[in-house]
Amino acid sequence: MKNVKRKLLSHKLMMISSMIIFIMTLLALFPPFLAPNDPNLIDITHKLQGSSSKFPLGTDHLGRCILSRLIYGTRTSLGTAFLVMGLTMMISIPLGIYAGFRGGWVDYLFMRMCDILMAFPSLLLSLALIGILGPGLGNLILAMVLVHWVFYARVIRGMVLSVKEQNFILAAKVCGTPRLVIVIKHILPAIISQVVVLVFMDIGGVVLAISSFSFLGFGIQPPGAEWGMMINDSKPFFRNAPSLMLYPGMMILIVVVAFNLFGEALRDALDLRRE
Amino acid sequence: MGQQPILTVNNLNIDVSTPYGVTRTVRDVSFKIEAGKVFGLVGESGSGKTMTCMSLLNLLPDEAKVVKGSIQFRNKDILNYSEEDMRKVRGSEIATIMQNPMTAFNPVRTIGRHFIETLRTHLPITKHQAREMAVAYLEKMDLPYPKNLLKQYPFQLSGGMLQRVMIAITMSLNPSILIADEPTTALDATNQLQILKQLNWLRKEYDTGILLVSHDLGVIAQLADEVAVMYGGYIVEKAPVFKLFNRPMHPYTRVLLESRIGLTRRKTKIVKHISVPPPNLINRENTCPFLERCEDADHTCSSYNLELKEYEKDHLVRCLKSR
Repeated sequence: MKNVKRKLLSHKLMMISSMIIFIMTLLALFPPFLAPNDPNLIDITHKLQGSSSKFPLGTDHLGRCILSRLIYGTRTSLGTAFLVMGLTMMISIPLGIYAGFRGGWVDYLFMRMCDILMAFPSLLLSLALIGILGPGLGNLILAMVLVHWVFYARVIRGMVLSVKEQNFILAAKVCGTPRLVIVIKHILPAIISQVVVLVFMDIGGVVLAISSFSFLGFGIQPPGAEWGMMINDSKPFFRNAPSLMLYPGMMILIVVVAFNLFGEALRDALDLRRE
Repeated sequence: MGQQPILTVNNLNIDVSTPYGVTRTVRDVSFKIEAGKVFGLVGESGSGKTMTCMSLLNLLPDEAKVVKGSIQFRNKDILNYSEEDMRKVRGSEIATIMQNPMTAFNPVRTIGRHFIETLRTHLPITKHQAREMAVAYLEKMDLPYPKNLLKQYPFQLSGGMLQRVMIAITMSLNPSILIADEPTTALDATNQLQILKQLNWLRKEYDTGILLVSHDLGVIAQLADEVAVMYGGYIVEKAPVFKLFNRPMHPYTRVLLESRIGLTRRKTKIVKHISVPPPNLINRENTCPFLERCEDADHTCSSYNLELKEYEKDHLVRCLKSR
């Protein structure tokens, strides 16, 4: 554990990315205190302004403060991404462990189901689901969870398979340890660090996916603030005010890169490749 | 004591399906274990020793299946137990010492947590009581500073210590049968002796019946009361330990005993055994598994029906040519 801590601290990229994530988390948690203006206050008289002391990053086509909308957008983007990941894990960890540990026909059935679901591109499948459910943030989350859990459950199953064959699992069985205890106390701790790394490596992708859906108009509905939606809104004014599109794009870029670097550094620190 | 066998195995046959065909890894194995006695099982790698052990716990891998025979534990057939009943038997009634102590512990959990988990699985006791029991049993195994030991991680202990911890865990539940599957193979000579002494003490103190599996004849000679030699899934010879070592009857037992390293250099006569590869057991017909490698084999052997013959009292041999 000491080793892990030292490695994390010595990792420069890790420090930078975790700083960014920390700031983003603050933005997501306390937007009312950090945003200079009301993000939804429409004031046509101030539309498409450049930066000023009142609007640090200027205003959009309806005269709303861009900085405030970006800050409120953090809450939507990050919050939704974490919610999607959390719900996905709540489905895929138990199912993956069950399939991997149980083996036999349950595992076989599960794997074939995964194969079928993974035959479709995940973005397309989510789109189809949203098409059925109708647009909206709740439906977006639901659709993404329903599509994404398969992938993670499959990876977790693979991890369980390799841990299951370890001698200490056999030793626990030989001692008459109940299955549930073996799973919770021996298998889960053995795979959890890998799962955490997996989550952080992929959460950037989830942020990106949520933004794409919002860009297409399937995510959060106006007037709520979301980065992808802000890019979509600014499309018609791209020539006159390119910064309108640039700022939310930069936010997405920074968050995704920060999470990817963080995940990578975490993987190096926990030294998972050696296992 | 020791009259009524605790565990009786009758005509056990185990099939393992592989991608290349079905192998019968255990054929017609019968033996019994009495309280306070040590039954030794010797044989080379792949002769079916571990499969036999795993079947006693009903923990055979998915590919393996008991196709014939019964395993009577206290006059009930283990093979008919439900999974839950079997789980309760494991550890508390039939305990096992694993082959490789270094890997038998979860590296991220302390010795104490392993110990307490096992105790509390089978006994209705509090954590505190379990800890006290653990300390007491570690002390009995001559382990130093048992209280500190409980806080340590498996990799901080030596192999010999871990093996003794494992014996302490298995013995704390006072099982009536102990399966020791090559308990000393991973250890050096001094540790081996300690472990053997402790096993010996256990059977005297607690009247535990021990199934000792090994390919180390020295270990068997030290501890066992009765020995069975396995080859190609069969028990080819079974006898009390002194009879077997003094007068081996089966040709395989003879080469096995000859192959031991002695202090004086002897001329080995086992050229044929070494030059011919071990038998392929996949889809093998019911001929003597040692046929191809045997020095004494002749044309009568190929039609031998592999019946166990009693040459002396308690001395069973599965060979036509036994002398």
